[in-house]
Amino acid sequence: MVRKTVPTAVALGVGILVLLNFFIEGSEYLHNAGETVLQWVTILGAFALLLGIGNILRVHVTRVAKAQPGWIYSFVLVTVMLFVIVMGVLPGGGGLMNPFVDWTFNYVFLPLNATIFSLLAFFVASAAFRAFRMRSPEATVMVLAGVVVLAGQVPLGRLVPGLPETSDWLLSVPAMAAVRGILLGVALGTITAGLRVMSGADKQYLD
Amino acid sequence: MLCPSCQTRNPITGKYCSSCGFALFAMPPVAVDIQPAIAQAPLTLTDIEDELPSLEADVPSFAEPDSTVPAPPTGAIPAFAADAGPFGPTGQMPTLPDGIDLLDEAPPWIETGPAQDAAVERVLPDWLALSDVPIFVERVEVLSTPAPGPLLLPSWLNLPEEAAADVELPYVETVPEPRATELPSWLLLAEPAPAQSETVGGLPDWLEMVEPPYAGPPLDTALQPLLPDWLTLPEPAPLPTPAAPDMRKILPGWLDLAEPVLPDWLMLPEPIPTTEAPASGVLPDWLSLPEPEAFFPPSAPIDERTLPEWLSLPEPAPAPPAAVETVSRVLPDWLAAAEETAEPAAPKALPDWLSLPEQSPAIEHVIPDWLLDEDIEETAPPEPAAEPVAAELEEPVSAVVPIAAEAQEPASTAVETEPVDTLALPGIAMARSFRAPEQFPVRHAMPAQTPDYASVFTGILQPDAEPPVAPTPHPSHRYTFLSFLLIIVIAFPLLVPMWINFQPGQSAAEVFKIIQALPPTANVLVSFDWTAGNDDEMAPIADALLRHLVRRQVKIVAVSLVPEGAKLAQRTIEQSVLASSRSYVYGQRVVNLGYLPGNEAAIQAMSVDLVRYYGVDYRGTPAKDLPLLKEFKSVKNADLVIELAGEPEMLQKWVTQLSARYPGIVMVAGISATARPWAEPFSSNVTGQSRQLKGVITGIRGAAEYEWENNDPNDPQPRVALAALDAQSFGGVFLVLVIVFGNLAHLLSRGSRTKGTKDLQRSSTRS
Repeated sequence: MVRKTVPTAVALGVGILVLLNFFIEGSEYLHNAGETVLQWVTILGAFALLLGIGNILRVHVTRVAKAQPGWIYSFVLVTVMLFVIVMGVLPGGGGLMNPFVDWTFNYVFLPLNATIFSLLAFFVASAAFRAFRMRSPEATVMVLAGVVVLAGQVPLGRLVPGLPETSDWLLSVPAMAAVRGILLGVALGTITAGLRVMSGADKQYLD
Repeated sequence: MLCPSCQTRNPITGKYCSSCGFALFAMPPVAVDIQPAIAQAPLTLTDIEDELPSLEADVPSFAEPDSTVPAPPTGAIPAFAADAGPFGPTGQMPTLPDGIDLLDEAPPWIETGPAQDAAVERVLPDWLALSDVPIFVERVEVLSTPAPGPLLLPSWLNLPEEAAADVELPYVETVPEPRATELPSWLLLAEPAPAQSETVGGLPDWLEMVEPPYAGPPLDTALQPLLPDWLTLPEPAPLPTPAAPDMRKILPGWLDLAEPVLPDWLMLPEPIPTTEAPASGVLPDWLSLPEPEAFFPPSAPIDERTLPEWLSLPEPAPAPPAAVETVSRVLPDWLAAAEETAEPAAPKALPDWLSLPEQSPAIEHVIPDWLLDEDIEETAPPEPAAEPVAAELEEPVSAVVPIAAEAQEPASTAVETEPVDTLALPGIAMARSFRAPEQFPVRHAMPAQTPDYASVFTGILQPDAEPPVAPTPHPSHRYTFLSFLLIIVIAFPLLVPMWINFQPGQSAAEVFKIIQALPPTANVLVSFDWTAGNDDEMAPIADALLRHLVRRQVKIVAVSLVPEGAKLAQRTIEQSVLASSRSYVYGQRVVNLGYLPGNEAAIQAMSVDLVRYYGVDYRGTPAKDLPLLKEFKSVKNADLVIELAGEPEMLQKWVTQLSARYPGIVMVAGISATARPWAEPFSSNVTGQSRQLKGVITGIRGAAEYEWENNDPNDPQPRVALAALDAQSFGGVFLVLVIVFGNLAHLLSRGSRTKGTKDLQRSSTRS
């Protein structure tokens, strides 16, 4: 009972408090209570980030200790991560303004991420040749729409008469209708999930 | 009587053919003293007459009678027969002596000697003709000389000299010579007069009438040394009963031989004693069968009615005499002779290759599958203790022999009446049958990607298991060619700017107008919510917006909902704000508060109190010490909120958490190109829409448009977005061409598409 009832009661009370703080203005007590809960959320979010750091350390340290395949990459990851953290939290080190941390971010982290992201261009080119085929009527519609939108978004394609208007129409009408439907569904699902959590019907957070 | 010359049938009493005048004579019966069985053959003279034309069909011409040929002994011919007619000149039948009956078909050869001799020669078939020497003369010489020459017989009839020297010539003078030579040996076996078989000489009555009974040794005995073994007639065996069984009449004479006459290859081996089992070593292992008692209880009856005839055993003979008679009805004599010596035991009736050894290792190994019956499996008795263990068997065999499990079953489980397999041999294959495990051929018709999908699925179901091995990528020259071509297409416009057809869009102009309308005292909140992966696309947008804000001399507070955003914001502020305008001092007109975790909760916290929730800025300076935050305490104090989102989720968070609660706050967005569809519902300018986003800058193109709008001749900073726009144009056109050529290749190869490709498509669609 304690394991289920108390957490459910806490979830229900906090949920109701945040909702009341959102819809009711002018109540200082309610406002302060709501702000306190928001502060807890940000602190819990920071701890969640620390929890993620700890999980990464556990997985990769274990891989290095057992000399599993690819352990050398885990060794590099753990070493660099610990070094950056130590340099950032050192007293008087400057925190995020530490020159070593700044250099590592600007000249190691960002180029590596940009490189990985740039590889998508080649993957897209290969996938466009292999998989973007008109094998069925539905695939044909998708291919034609993709070609029109892709060509209409670049300045060179806008030289074709009617292509920019067609591309904008596809984005503004059919694509927006589909996205709007998805957003409405997500919103309704979010409301349902909140009600289930507050009513105690959904207790996945207890697992 | 059939004329040998013109094939005309004439009366039996005619001397000459009524058609061609050919001298006719009847084939004399052979007066050989053969075994009584032959004498009882129901052949008549008419039958012999019918056979003669076919035998002498190959005779080319009629041989003239030779004067040297001695005439038949006249003394043997009665006087009444020496007349011209068969009944004498008077045409009246003479009176016969008492006790002698004259046959109606008296042989005409007794009339004249020369004509008869010539006719005899014609009767002989070719295969009995001896070279060019007149047959009749030489044959007579053979019969009359003491030592028969081997030249008189063909080579295949010649006997060794030792055997010929011991030949005792018979007395032939009283024997009618034509009878000994005119007929082949196989005709000697035919006896026309069964009723006279009891005579001593074997002669019919019509011969006894004209000559005395032959008193010498039997003719066949005299000829026996001259004949090969297979033509030699054995000693006449006495019949068991005076009335011989009729079944013998259907047997040909050449089969009615005694045992010594049979050639070696027809000779049966010595009868195997019934008490001795055949040696197991005679048979190969695969033919070795165990004793039937090893598999079945002795009391188990065998229902032979279910057996096919060819598998049924003969009935057990009750008594030896009866058995001989029974066997003689169904078997030829050459088998009956051997059967008489063997006891009619059931196992002995089986040939050697079906004989059962005393102990065989296992019948399951011998019985083929088609002899196994599935229905017997449940009621079959347990295996004997002599069964081999499963480990001794080969794998295919052991798979069908459930030995260990059933061998331990108690004997009480055996049923009293054993089921009978319809295909089982009694005592041999009445073994229990086994059901072989069904084995179906495995057919793998899955696409090539299925193992990869299965490995991924297995990894999901078993997170602790080892990660699936990544499939080895296939080397593709096509992929390499496309990559190099894409690099060239993108690098060329970067090196040689062309400024192709740039037309600023409406959305960027709206954002520009909003910022342009901000007063210098305005507070602008900029959220840097993109990661390092989107930096190349988002950085130009942020740079263009901040430069415009700097131009407008507004106060800037930077926040972030992603950890990396704080560092990106700091870099952008340093490059686009602090480096471009000396009027901007950190803490007074621009502040970077950095990352605040919590997403929606962080947005709500920003809308409440920035100092309280942040505490310190990006540099570690306490927020309460920053002069800008004294008047810019929360988002509610912002005149403009700019959301720079690399992913649509961050944009949605800001829109849902800020615009809904504070509708008076103007918010614009700078997003990546992939997030544009998700920004359309919030930025549509269609009448009646809420339009939470007053303007959106999308991707490099949006950044270039904004750079175009924010054209400041005094700004020395390069226009990165405009410079990259040509490369983006070339890259987009290149991808369009790739898609077009790929579909053309697909359409051209559709006809030759295989079934496996279709399966791959279906599986890919399902996945």
